[in-house]
Amino acid sequence: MSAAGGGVCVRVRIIGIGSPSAGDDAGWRLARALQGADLGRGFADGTVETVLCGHPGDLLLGPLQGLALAVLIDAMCTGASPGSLRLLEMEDLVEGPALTSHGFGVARILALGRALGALPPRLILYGIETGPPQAMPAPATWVKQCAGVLRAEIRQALGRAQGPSV
Amino acid sequence: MTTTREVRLCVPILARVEGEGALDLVVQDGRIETLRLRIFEPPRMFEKFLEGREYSELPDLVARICGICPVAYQMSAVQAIEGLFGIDPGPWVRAMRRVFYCGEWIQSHALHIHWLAAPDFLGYESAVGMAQAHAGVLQRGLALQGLGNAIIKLLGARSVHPVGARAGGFYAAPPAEEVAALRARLVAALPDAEALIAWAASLPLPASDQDFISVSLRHPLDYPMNEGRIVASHGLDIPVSEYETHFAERQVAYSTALFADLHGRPYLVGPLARMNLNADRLHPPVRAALARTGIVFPSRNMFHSVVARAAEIHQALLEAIGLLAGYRRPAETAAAAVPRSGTGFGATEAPRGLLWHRYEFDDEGCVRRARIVPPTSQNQGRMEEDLRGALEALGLDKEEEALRRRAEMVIRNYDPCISCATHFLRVRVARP
Repeated sequence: MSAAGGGVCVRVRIIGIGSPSAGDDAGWRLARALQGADLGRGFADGTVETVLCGHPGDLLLGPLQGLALAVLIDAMCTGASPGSLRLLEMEDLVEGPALTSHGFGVARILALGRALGALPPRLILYGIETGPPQAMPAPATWVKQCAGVLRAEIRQALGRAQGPSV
Repeated sequence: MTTTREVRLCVPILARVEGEGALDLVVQDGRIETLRLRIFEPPRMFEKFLEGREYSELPDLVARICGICPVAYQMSAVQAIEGLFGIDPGPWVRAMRRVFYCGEWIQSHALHIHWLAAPDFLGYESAVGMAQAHAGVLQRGLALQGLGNAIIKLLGARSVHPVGARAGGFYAAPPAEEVAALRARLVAALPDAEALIAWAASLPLPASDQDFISVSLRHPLDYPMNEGRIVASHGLDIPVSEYETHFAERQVAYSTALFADLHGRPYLVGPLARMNLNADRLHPPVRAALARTGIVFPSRNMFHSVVARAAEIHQALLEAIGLLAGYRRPAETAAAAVPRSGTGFGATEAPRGLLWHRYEFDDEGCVRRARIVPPTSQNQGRMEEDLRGALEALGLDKEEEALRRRAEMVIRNYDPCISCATHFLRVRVARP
């Protein structure tokens, strides 16, 4: 379990996945915007953390350890209109070795995590349809779509252990 | 009556390797007619991007070449800069760079052993398939890999493409309490690292006996990592600056990566080459753990690379523990740099082997020309040579599936790092 400053344990982690230097930045942009939306308000400082994760995907398993809730945000390629935000299930992911680093894409690493019993009890996955930069909406649009759901999920995940302090 | 059999094997995309490559194999009448390790990923022209950049930008720029071994790129670059500018970074920087590099070896080797290579030796398609029968092994691998990442983050601020290194030293020194906490975790992991050597040696590794040239750095005292002379198993012993006198890169039509030769012959770099040339520099507990396996280095079995990687994890843990003992934050974390024109050379031991850099700088310290020779390029010729030997040893009359499996096993055994590629989720959308 990872500890934030002052010994507080991170229980919820919002993980933006991407490779911005290669033009794959949608996951990071939404994660950053969610950080600004302060979804952890009302809970002890450091309980809810936002991290930006690049490939390789194998590094994902570490940040997933010891959490009550993980929120993964990554780019997706489904043919939907660019910038569409979609809540996905793990089963929606298709493994594809061709374009992933060391063959470790998000789908593979989640499957491995599940097989090892290393995933958090609740895991939410958001996909953002890729597209040309000019076709992508401002991250605030995505935040508007998902913040309510995420606040409720965080409340539920943390509610069992600690209630809001305000 | 004579019978003819033709086997045409095409592995269009190699899985569990970094980047995009393929293998073409044609066997005609029991003889290998064509064997091509095709790297088809477009060239990245990275050296060209570096031209015109200031020396101070190099460590962060070259770290972007690889998500698995960014520290190696940074360390070869700073060595080249400091050699030319006449910078002595001092003992604290030297020690911390070594620790930094240990982190990279631990994470990269743990990744390769557990997630990339082990499924081949144990007969699984991937580590996911291994998880049920070998959960404890994979958990141990995950923990070791996490420790390696934690070391890189300690000195580089983040574990992928770290940003802490600079010419002359580091941008910042970690607080003593963070170092002490991490060091305690490293000490606690020693039994796991030792057990990993025994486990790697117990894998059903194919028998193999090949004659090849091993090339690595060699240091007067230490197991080679970020300094030393370039040596080869057939007697070469040269300073880093003389690499181009003896080693030549050549282009082949079917690969976008260059092949490298030593005096016209393929050669091996990487953990097995390092071990073959430097086993006498290992810490005694690593030597003892290896002795218990019965595997002797130098080894001519390429599959002993996985054992060498496990031994290097143990070595790196011990090294980092020793270097972090009695850690104190220094008054200065980097020596000052005064640019000068000329050519600087750097070579360090990336997890996958020798990584050689050469930079020409102008008076302002801007890069005029750059040349980077990564380990995978150096190993390409050896991989093809190994494939021929391994497939002939297996028997070219075997079924295509058996040949394909062995060929992939051979290639992955080198942990080739073709390049980093951007990624997308591939999603199956059911539409009503």
